[in-house]
Amino acid sequence: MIRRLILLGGLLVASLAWAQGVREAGMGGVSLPGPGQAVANPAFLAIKDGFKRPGWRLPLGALGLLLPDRSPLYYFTDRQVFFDRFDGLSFYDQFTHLDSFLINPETSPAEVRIEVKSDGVSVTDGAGHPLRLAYQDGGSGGHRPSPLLYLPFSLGQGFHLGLGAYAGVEKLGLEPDAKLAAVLAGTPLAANERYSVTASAHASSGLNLDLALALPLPAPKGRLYAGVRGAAFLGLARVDGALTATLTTDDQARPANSETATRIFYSYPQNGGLGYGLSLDVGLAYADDDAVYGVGLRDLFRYSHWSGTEVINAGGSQTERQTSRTELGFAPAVYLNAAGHASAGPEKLLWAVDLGFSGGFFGHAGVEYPLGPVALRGGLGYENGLRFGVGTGLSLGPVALDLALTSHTGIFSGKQVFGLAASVGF
Amino acid sequence: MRRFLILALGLVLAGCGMQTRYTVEVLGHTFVAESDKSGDFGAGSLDLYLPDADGDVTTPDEGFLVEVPSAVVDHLYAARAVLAVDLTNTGASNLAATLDFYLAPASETANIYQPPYRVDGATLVVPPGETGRLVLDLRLARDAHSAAYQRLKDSGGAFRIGFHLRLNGDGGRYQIDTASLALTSERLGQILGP
Repeated sequence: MIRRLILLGGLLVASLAWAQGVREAGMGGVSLPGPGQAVANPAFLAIKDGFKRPGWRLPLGALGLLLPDRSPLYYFTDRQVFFDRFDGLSFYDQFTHLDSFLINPETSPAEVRIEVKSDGVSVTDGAGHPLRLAYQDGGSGGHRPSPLLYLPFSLGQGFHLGLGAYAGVEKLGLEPDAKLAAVLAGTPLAANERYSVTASAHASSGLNLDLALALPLPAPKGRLYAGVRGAAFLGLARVDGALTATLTTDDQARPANSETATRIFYSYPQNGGLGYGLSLDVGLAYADDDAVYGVGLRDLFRYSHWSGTEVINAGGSQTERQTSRTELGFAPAVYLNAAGHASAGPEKLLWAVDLGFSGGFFGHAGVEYPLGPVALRGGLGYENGLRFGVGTGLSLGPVALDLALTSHTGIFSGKQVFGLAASVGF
Repeated sequence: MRRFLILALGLVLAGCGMQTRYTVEVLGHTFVAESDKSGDFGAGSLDLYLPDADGDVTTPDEGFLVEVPSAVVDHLYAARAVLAVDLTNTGASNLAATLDFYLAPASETANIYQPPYRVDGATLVVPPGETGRLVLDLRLARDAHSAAYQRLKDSGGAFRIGFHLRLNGDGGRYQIDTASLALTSERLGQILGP
C-alpha cells in the first residue's frame, strides 16, 4: 500500500510540476523561450525570466489516472474492477498527456475484427472502420523522456546544477512487415508465406543530475547566449516490450496457422535492475528588445546502460534470463523556438513558434492577447497529428488563474482527444 | 509484478481494453473458383454438400475440417456461420430449396450430414420465372443453438462443418454468394481474468 501511495504521490507531483505550463497549452502547445525550456536548450539558463508566468498546475492529469478505465492501480486494489474496466489505450493516452484531464481519451475498440479473404486481410473495429495497423508515436522520439520535475540551481559564474526526475514513454509503435503491409494494401495472400505485425513500446523512469554552463557571448547587437550541459541519469525502471503476431498460409494461400510471441525486457531495483548513462546537450539563444530566439541540440552524444530481465514467450514456451542493454550514439533531438511581442491595437500581442525533430517532426504556433486582467490565447500544433489549444488567463491582484482546453490526435484511432488543464499562481 | 507488467504492456501494445473481443472471420466463398460456385439443374431434386470433400459435390462426405488453436474455442463467445445462395427458377412450377448447416467433431471422418450433427436450416420457395435468395445465418452462443456451441467449445479446436443444399423443381440455376465462418472471443477481461 505504501508503494502505491508513493507512486500516486509521484504522479501528483509530476502533474503539478509538469514542464509545460497551462499558458503554453492554451497556445497550442508552443513552448516559450526561457529557463522553463532549459531542458531542450541549455542556453536559456542564461536568460533571467523569459516569458515566465507564475502558476502551479492543478493535478488534473493525475486525477484522470484514478479513473477505473485508465488506472492500472486497480490491479493491486480491486482486481475485478481492473479486469472489467481497464483500457490499455485510455491509460496510455492519459499517461502520455499528464498535463491535462482527458475528456474523451482514446478507447480500445469493443471488437477487433480480422477478416480473411482470398484477396487480402482487413482489420476493422467491428463497425467496419479500418484500424490503424501502422503507427509510430514518437513519445520522446527514442530519447530519454523530459524531466517531470526539474530544479535548476545557479552555482554562479554561469554554472547551473539541475536535479530532476523523469518518467515517460520513449516510443510506441505498431509495424506490419513488408509482406503484410502489401496484403493490407490489397495484394492477395501468397501460398506458404509468413506475415507478421509487431507492436513495440519503450518506457523508462529515473533521476537526473545535470551540470550546465550558460554564458553571454559578444554580439554586435542584441544579446547572444551559449549553453552546454552534461546530463547524467540514474535509471530506476525500464520496460521494453515487443509483441509479434504471425499468420502462416498453406499451399493454397489459405490462412493455416497463427501464433504470437512476446519479448519483454524489464528492469527495476527489485529484480536487480539498474540503469545509468550520460548525454551532452548544447544550445544558442539570441534576444533583442522584442523577441527571443533559440536553437538547441539535445542528446548530441549519449550513452546508456541498463541491466534487467528478459522474458521471451514463443512457441508455447517461456524463457527468462538476466541481460543488459547498452546504447551509444549520436542522434540529437533538434529544437528551435522563438517568441516576442508585436504591437496590435492598444496592447501588445505575444506570439510564439517552435519547430523540432525528435523521432518525428513537431511544430507549434500560438498567440496571447491581453484584455485588461484577462488574457486570451490560442494556437495550433503538429505532434504525430494535429493539436490545438485555446485558453485564458486571469490576473486578479496577486492571484493568477490559467485555464486551457487542449486537443491532440489519438495515435490509434486518429480521433481528436480533448483535455482540460488549469493552474493557479500567487 | 511481472504478470502485471506483461498484462499492462500487452494491452497497450495490442491497443486493447478489457472490453475488447476478437473476431476472426474467414470468407470461404472467396477461396472457391467461380466455376465451382454456380451450376444449372434440371427437373427433379438435387442435393449439394458444400464444401465438397470427396470430389463429388452431390454425395455426403466428411465436410470441411477447421483447425484453430484450442485457446480460440476455449474462450469462444460466439460463432456465426453464413451461407447465401441466389436461385433462379426457370421451370414451370415452384422451386423448393432447403439449406441446412452441420457441425461435427473432427473424429467424424465418414459423413457429417447426419441428424445428430444438424444445427439448423432455412427454406425458400421460388415461383416460376423468378429469382430468390436463400440465406442461412446462424449464431452459435450460450443463448442460441447452445448444443452446437457446446460442441464447438468441446472440440479442442478441430471440428468439421458443411452445408447441405437441396433443390426441388423443374429446373433452374444456383449461385453461391456468401459462405463464411466467424469466431468471436470472450472479452479480454474474462480471458485474462482475476
